[in-house]
Amino acid sequence: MPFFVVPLKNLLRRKFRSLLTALGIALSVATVVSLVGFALGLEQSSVEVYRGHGIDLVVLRSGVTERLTSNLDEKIAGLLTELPGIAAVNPSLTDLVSFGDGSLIGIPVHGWPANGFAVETLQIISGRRLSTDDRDAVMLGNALADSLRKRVGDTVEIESQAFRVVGTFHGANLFEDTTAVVPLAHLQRLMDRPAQVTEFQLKLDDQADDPATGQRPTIAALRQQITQLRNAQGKRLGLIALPTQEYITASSETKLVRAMAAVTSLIAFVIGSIGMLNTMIMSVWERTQEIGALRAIGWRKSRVLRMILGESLLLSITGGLVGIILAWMLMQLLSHSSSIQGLIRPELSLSVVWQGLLLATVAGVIGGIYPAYRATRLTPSKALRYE
Amino acid sequence: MSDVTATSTAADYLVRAENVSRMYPDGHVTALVDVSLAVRRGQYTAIVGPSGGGKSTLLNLLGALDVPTSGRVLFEEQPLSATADLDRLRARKIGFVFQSFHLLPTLTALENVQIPMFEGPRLSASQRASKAGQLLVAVGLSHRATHLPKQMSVGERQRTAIARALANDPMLLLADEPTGNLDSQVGGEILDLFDRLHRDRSMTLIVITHSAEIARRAQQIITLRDGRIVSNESVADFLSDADATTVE
Repeated sequence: MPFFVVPLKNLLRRKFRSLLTALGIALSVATVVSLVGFALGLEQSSVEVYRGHGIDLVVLRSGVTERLTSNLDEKIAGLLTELPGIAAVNPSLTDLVSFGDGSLIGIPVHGWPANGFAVETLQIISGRRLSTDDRDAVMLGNALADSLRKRVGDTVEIESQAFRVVGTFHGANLFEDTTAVVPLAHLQRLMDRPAQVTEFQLKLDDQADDPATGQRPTIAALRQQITQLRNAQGKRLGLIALPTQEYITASSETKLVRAMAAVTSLIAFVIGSIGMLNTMIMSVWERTQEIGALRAIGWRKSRVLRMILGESLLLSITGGLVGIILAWMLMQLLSHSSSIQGLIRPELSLSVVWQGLLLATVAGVIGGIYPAYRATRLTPSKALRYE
Repeated sequence: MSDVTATSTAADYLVRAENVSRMYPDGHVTALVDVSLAVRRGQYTAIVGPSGGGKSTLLNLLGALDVPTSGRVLFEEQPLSATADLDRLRARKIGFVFQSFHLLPTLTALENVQIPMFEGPRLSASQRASKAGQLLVAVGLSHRATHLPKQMSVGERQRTAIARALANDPMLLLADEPTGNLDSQVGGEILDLFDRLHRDRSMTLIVITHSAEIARRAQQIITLRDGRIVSNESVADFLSDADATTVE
């Protein structure tokens, strides 16, 4: 009989209690894994949108924590275009608006130049792209168009102003399919932000050489150059250029989602650990005489410790594995629900799975270490007399 | 008090107590007062006396489960107070049999017998199982190897516990009221088993008992009352003093 059989069979003594404890850990791990999975999925969906347009760098105002409040002069686009290694610059003004009678709120609407690469890389489903001649025109993502029941030629109200639907598009994912695009100048007027944009989206030309050095500029060098850009008066513009992934990771929305996932995970973890601690304390208390007998027949303290910790770890790791399966099922269920279908693709990556298992293991150690320590403190003669 | 004879040498003794007292600080209770005794290798000793007389306390001290407040206990002439690893000593040289068996309820008889082997000489899992099987044969329980304690009679459970006590081939077997939970017939079978162990393996046995039957089988009978040894005699002397089925 290998040693692990002892803690394993000890757990079967109180099957229902062991089951409930493992279930507690499973729910904790499922909560953590699914929340982290959704947070990562949300992040990746945002990254996909930018990568779908071939955006390599995003330029915004340095120190701005909320990207929608980033306020940049659209003329900076000219300075950026002149930098070596920049293939194209797309000025972008983004805001959240409500549509129609207010049934749809917080919908992202982008103000993009009609001839910019962002508009050009949209996949048209019906109608056409924006043109430079358009006035009060809007392109709707197909999911948004479906929600609004609008087709090409219809009119939609954005912030009480009528816009004519000239086309519908299919974005990189449903995240983008629920957005709208209007000409940059029109959104600037609508939002009373003349000549202002929230960010510049840059495509890099990886074939271009820097005329000054004769070498291809590195992204790091380019980011440095952008940071150093100054206006005509020689005053630094206060820009920051972030690669797409970094930009999304650093965004306040991502940080908020991650923070919420972390806090909820922590609460779930604490609850799971307390459940484990309670179970193991009860278990040790009930087996005082038995532990005394094991010590009497020569078991060292370390072996008693291993037995109790082994029990808590077996429970927690089993709970962790069940939790990961539960999380996967929950993700499948939610990602197929009508409210978020296609919007977020939950990520059950290997790293998330490891995080879940690590969490379960830590909960097992926390829940088991004190009862195990108490068990080792029992003197055999006293424990044998315990009633 | 002593059974130490002029012909015995120190090497003949497996375990000795010298002027041992044990006081429990929590209740200011003196459980043992100035107790001295010696148990020779291969000797069968019974400790008798009324409840609360200090029998279990003495057994705990002799079995390295507790330490005396004063005096000393020697195992193979080595003071236990100077023995660095008492767990190892108990695991390899002493076997315990308890009144309540203390078998692990979720393990089979075969598995329960292997429990002390984790602390014994290094054996593979299959070697442990094989040795446990042989011990179950020795106690007449080979047919119960795969049974859980709850599936066995109380007598079979005690036999399993005895097999467990023998797992690491101890020199000394300590038994605390081993027949206390058994009826007279089953108790008699357990005592027969002790006799066989004593005879066939030259096992040193120290048994706490209220049973005159056990006492009759022993070679040395120590009577404790109020924490003191009131007599230490051979079975012949004991039988001439008492004619009862239970000892106080």
